[in-house]
Amino acid sequence: MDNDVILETVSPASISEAAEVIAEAAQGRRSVYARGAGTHFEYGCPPSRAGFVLCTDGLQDVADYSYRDLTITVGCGVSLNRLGEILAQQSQFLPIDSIFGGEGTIGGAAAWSPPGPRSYRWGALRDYVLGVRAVDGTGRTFHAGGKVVKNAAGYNLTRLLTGSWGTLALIVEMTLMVRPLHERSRLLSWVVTKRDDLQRLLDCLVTGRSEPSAIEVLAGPRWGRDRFLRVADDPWECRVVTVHEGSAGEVDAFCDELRRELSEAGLKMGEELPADCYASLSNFLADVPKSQSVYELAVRPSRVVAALEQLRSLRPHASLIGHAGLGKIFVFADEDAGVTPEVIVRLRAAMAPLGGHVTVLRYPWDQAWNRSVIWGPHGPASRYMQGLKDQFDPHNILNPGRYVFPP
Amino acid sequence: MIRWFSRRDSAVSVAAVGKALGKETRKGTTVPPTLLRALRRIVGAENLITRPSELIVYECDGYTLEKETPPAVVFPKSTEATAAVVRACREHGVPVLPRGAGTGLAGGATPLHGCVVVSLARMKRILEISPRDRMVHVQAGVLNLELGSVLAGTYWHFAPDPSSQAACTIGGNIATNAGGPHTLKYGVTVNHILGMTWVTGEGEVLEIGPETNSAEFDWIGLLTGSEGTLGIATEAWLRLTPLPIAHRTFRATFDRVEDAGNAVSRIIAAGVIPAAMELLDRGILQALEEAFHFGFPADAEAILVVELDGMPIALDEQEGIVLQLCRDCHAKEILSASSEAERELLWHCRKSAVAAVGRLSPGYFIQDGVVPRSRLPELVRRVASIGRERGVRIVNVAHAGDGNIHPILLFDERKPDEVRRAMEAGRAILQACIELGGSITAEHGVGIEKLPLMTALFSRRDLDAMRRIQRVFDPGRVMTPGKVLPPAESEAFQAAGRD
Repeated sequence: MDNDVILETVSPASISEAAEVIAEAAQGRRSVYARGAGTHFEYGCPPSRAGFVLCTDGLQDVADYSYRDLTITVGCGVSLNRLGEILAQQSQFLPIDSIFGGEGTIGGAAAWSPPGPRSYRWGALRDYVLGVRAVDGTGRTFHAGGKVVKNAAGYNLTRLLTGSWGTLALIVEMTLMVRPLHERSRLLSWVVTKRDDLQRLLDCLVTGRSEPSAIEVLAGPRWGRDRFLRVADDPWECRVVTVHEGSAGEVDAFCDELRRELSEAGLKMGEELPADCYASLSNFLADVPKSQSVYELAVRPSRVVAALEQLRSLRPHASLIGHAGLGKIFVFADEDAGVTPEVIVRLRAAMAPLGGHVTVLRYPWDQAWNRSVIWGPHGPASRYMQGLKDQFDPHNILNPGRYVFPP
Repeated sequence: MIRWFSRRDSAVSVAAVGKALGKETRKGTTVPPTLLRALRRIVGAENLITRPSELIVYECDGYTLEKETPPAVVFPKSTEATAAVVRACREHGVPVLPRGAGTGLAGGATPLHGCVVVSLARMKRILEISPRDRMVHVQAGVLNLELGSVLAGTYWHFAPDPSSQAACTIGGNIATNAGGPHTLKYGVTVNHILGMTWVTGEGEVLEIGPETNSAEFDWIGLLTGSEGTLGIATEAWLRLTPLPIAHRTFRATFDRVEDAGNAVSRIIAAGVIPAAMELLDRGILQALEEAFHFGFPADAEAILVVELDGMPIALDEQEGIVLQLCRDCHAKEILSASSEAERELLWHCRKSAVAAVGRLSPGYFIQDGVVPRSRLPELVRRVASIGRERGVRIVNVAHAGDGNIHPILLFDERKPDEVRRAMEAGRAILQACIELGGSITAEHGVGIEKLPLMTALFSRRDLDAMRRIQRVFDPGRVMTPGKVLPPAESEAFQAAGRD
């Protein structure tokens, strides 16, 4: 964080105080950078205007936990760890991954968080946000959604705000749908060294009926530090990991089904990994050094292998995790030569024939990168994004510079 | 959402109801000849209707108490033509109303204010099926059930299954964020859309997904369920969901509706999420029995239809829990579907429940409300009480596992006072939903019918936030006027003393 830009920190103790802070900031045209636990504050672009950091650590109320309805209403400053503990007392959980670590807040995850491995089966956080209370860029508080699991009344602002990088409004409170905690997890793993073998394995996993919660592809030296997940630093060696969740009997039955499907395809069953290996997958960006860049590739799931091929030809030693069922690949610890804007441009050109996108999620803030390199070329939707920004934050005080909008 | 009764018969009788309510069919305005020429140029004469006799079909949807004859109906066959139609109408200051199959129950597809109706019914191509991507790419006019037919014999299906699925379109499902019985486990339409081609209120085309990235807002989440007020979905990438390996379907009979409601609440609280959990009360059961002779017990006050799906071993575990909880809640009989044919018949009965109501009453009105699941027993009691107080017969079907109830209010359209009381009872039920922490619609949408209640559910600021979105996607206010959002100058807030 550049101290020349950020002037002070404010920690409102209540939602109304948070609204007052933003309203005053709007009047004084001062910028507000919301911050939860700071686990991914260095993602996106740097703050562009002087202002202050609004810490959400005072917004940790659990306003309601209707465990019989599988809903909980919490302040945005509640950490994912604490939320998990509260829910576990009733054998429930929120099926999202804590990508940046469990100390991260639910508000931070709602502002933006990449999909985790489990998103393949369980969906993204926005699928679990039933309602929000939010403060827009003028300090006005409004509600969206509600506390019911189906709701067709009006526009779905909860989905608009979730993942908007806090640039439209500060989500101060959220009602979440939670799920019954599963009894058991099993992880299976395959080491693959040939492109065609990887393609066949992923084809079988994605089109089968064994319903894994996650189908992950790991590659690169970052995983070499992990006893169970390690992969040789070889351009074509990768590890495929599947995660299976459910009741004890159900998980075994799904794994038996998977064994049968693999056998039919002439493939071997994966090796069993300890279930606690999942933490390394779930928190895949938690221990990436802040000096390293992170970028995402998005393609159709059937093109993941082709995308990996392009990536590995350009960046043979990059570390990555690919959510193969979702068509998302996150590249990090790409440290051998440092990632430059030129690399991203070349990668984007390589992905274009695959219909893929490249988005830079973190880059060295001491370098001046062109915004179109970071976020990709402007499409027709850019105008609508800017329109919404102007409506909800007319003075551009919420996280200026940090996201796709002009600083 | 389908009108299960004969459109011609009902059109006569329900028009009488509308007349009784002082809501006679309004004759639509005409459109400028230059616009008609432009529309004809865009879609061709064969895809444009202007004859009054043909326009009658488009004067309302399944909500028949308000009607307006549109000046014209166009049938674009491509995204480009749809966008050109919107632009032409916008240039002439004429509003636009997209329409799928017209099966909606809240008046979302009823033309108001002289709208040109843009029917997506002729955009019904399935463009690509890709099991490897778990996606299917379709045009908006494809029928929900048609997808099931095309995918028959594969491991895949499109999960949203509204009761009108034989007739409703994917575009309509997107517009209303449609649900259905199996949304309990599988989610509503928005959970199954991966990409869309969207025509905005300015006639601009947005290609959204199916690959999404962190540099975009969640357009799919925002636009799905916007009921035609933010634009038109012309194509969609739909998620394919694996068909479950096995099902267990059974019905539990109860002497009290509240007991069935309690069973629902306790099953969810116990951590079991069935694929579907449907409640039918005595009135509906009588109608269904007359129609299908399924063998429902004549003296049952309510039955719960519970379907579990997944791996057989998991179903054994879950079934044990569900059956015990039903017994704990005083279920007096629990029967399993003994064959796939019996299971299909049971679902056919459930999905035909609204159709069967025609046997109970010539006139009826289907409400859609939702409460937190644990409040369902209380809502059921309040619905009964509201019916008693107003002298209105109400029968109920419910996607009980979601807390989503569909009370069906019966009336004789020849008796204006009865009609009025039924409408008041419908609003009282939705008011009860709000008081119990719920919402005025779970899956039918706001349309016209629920518009007055938006100010009871949301504050002025909440609605203002929605209007800001409308300003961006439809600055000229040409898309589907008179729906979803009440006019900003509504005085309802002042009356209620709310901000």
